[in-house]
Amino acid sequence: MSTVLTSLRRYRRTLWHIALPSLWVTASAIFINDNIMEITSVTGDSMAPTLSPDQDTTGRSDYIAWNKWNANTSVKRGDVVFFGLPSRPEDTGVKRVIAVEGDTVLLDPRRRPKNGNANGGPDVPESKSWDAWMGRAKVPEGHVWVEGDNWRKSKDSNWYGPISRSLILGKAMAVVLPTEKFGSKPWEKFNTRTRVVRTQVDTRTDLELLDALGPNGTV
Amino acid sequence: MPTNSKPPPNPRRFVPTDKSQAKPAPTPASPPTTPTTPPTTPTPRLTLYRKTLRYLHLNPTAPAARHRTFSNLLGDFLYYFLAAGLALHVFTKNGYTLGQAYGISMLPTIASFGDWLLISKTYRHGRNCHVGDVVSFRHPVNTGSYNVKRIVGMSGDFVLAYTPEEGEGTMVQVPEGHCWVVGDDLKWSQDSRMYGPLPLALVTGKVVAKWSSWWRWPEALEQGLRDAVIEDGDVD
Repeated sequence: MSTVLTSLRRYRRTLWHIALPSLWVTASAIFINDNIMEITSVTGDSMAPTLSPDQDTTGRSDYIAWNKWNANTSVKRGDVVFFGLPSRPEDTGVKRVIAVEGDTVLLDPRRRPKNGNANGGPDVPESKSWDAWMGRAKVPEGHVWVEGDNWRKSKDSNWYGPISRSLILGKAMAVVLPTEKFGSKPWEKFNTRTRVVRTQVDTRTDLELLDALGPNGTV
Repeated sequence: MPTNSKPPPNPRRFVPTDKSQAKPAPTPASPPTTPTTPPTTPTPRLTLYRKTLRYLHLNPTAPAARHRTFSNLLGDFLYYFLAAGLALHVFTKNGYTLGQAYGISMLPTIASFGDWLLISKTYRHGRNCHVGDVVSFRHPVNTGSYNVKRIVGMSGDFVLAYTPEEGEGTMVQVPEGHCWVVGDDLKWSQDSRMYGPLPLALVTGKVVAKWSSWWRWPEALEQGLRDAVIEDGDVD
C-alpha cells in the first residue's frame, strides 16, 4: 500500500499536467457537441441519393456536421434536420423539412405508407391514418412536416404525422466524410415533388393590411 | 511522513513582487546592445524533446516569474470562470439542475410562484419514468418553453382523453414512444388533453424534489397515485 502511495506521489505532477488538459478537452468537446456543432453519421437510405448513397453497396455512410445553435427556432422549408424520433425516444432521424406550421401539405400518393417495396404491398396501420388526411395535411402550430428524399424507402411524416419543432436538434451544415465530399452541401439542389400550400403571411403585409383597414378596423 | 512530498508547482502561481525593483516592462526604444560579458556556460539547444518537457512542466526548473498584474489576475479569473462554466454545463445537462417553476397548472403540488424544482436529468428521454412521475419536458407546441406535468400514462396505456366527468369518456391508447401528461390542477392545466400524447424524446428530466422556502429542506414530491376510492354520495 505504501509503495502505491509513493509511486502515486512521484507521478502526481505528471498526472496533474496530463489529466487536467484532457479534462479541459473533454468538457469543451461536450459543450461544443451539445450547443454548437455535432457530427453524426447518416444511416439508412431514406435520404438517398442525397446523403449516404453508397450505404447499401459499400457500407459507408456519410458523416454530417449539424448546426445546433438555435436549431429549432429558425427552421425553414428545405432544411435537412436531425431530430429525436417520436416513436423511439433514444434514436434520431435525418429528414428534410417540407412544410412548417400553418402550411397544408398536398400528400404525394407515391409516399402512402405500405409494407414492402415501392411497387406496392399490403397496407399497414399507418396507411389508414394517411388516408384519414384525405390528401391534405394541415401542419398544426409548433410542428413541421418532414419527408425523406427517397420516396421509395422513407418512414417520415407520412407515417408518423407532423413532428413537433421542439424535437429538432440540429440543421445540416456540411458533409464531413467521405473526404471527397468534405464541405459540400448535396441537399441544396434537391427539389421535392410534394406540393405545399404555404399559408405563412409576411409580417409586412399584415401591417399593410392593418393600415388599409383604417382607424375603425373596417375597410 | 516522507520529506520529499512537495506539491507540484502551480504554473499560475504568482511570485512576490519586490517593490524596490523596476517594472518588468521593457524600456522602449532602446537599441539592442551586445552583452558586455559573454555567458560562461553555453545554453543548451532547445530540441523538441526539451520543449515538450518544458510544456508539460516535467523539468525540475522553476517556471518563469509571474507577477501579480491586473492582466494576470484577469486571466486567472477567466480561466477559472471558463472551467467552472464547462463543468456546470456537463453537470446540469447530465446530472441535476434547479429550475424555478411558475404557473397554476400543478397546484397544489407545486406552488404558483417561488418553488424551485430539483430536476434529475438521468431520467431524460423518459428512461425509467413511470406513471405518477412529475417530469419536465420541452413543450411540443410552444417551441423553446419548458413545462412540468405529471405522467398518467406511458406507451401502450389506455388513458382518458379528456377531463373526467366532461366529454363522453373516450379513452385513447398512448402510442409507442409517447406518454400522456396531465397537470395536477385539471381545471387550469394545458396538457395532453389539449395537445395530444407527448413524445418521450421531449422529456428532459424528472422532478425529484421541490424547494419551496430557503429556510426549509427540499421535500420530495409525492408519487401521485392513490388507491381508488368509492365515493358514496347517498345520504343514508
